[in-house]
Amino acid sequence: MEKSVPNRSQAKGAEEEQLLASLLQANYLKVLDYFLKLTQDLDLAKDLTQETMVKAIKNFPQYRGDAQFASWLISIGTNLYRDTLRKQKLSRRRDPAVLTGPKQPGPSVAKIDLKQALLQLPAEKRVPLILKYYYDYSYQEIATCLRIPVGTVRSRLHSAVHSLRRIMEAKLPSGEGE
Amino acid sequence: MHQNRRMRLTERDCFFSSCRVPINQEKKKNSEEEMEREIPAGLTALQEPLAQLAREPEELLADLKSPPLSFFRNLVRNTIVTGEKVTWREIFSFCLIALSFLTLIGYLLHRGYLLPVVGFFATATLLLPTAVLFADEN
Repeated sequence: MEKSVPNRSQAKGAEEEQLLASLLQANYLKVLDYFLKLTQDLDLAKDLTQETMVKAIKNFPQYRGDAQFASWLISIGTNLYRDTLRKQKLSRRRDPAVLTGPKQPGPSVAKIDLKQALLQLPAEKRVPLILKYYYDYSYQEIATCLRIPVGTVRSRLHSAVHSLRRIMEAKLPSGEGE
Repeated sequence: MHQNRRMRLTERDCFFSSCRVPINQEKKKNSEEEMEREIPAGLTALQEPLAQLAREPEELLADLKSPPLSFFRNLVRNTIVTGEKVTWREIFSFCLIALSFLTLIGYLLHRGYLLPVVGFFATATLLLPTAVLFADEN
């Protein structure tokens, strides 16, 4: 009887690992899509997705199931992205030649301007905008995902929309093609 | 007389505070309502540029496939195993360093170096809040 207990816990461990692996596979493209929209850089998005998966595996015992698994992954990923930006800022201070932003060749001036306009927004404003517009998250869902109050979500979203419109309007006279 | 003055002051405070709160709540409500109106309008105005921005990632994603289940199973297994190794190393290192540190403090006190030890702990106490502020959030 005593021998079966460790076997049972091993089996339970194996089942959990299987469950976690299938959850990660099911949500991989969703997370990658989110990072692509957030960073506009495929390589960075892939790296962040990978790191998010690893962090999710380490913190899986803390997942309570009160939010969707994809939202939990996005929450982890957003914090990782903020840490990445912070490290990039530090390295830029030491070496101004370090560049950030998309490295793929832009096909047109208009597209680069749009990307630059979005990337000019600070991450704390960009994230609620992307979650609201592309994923149709409610204010409460965004607040739960980012662990901030609903009022803060609303004000950051308002500020993001306002800033983006101002940036787009400022770039219009530079003659982007229509 | 002093009691009456104290009572009058508290009444005045209550009166002002009760007046102040509704006005702030109203202002807050108005600004929230304004945001509620402006956000959808702003998003509608940005519909085309944001849709254009999403096209490129969607095209890239259409060519990509999720890795196979075996990849994620290996990832989970390797992460858990590495995590366990790191935990044991951390526990062992912590015990070793803590014992060494306490032994050193005990030795210094035994030798009579009370003031330097007190000075060290006082400096650490003053500087620790600053160090904590710059700690990496995980």
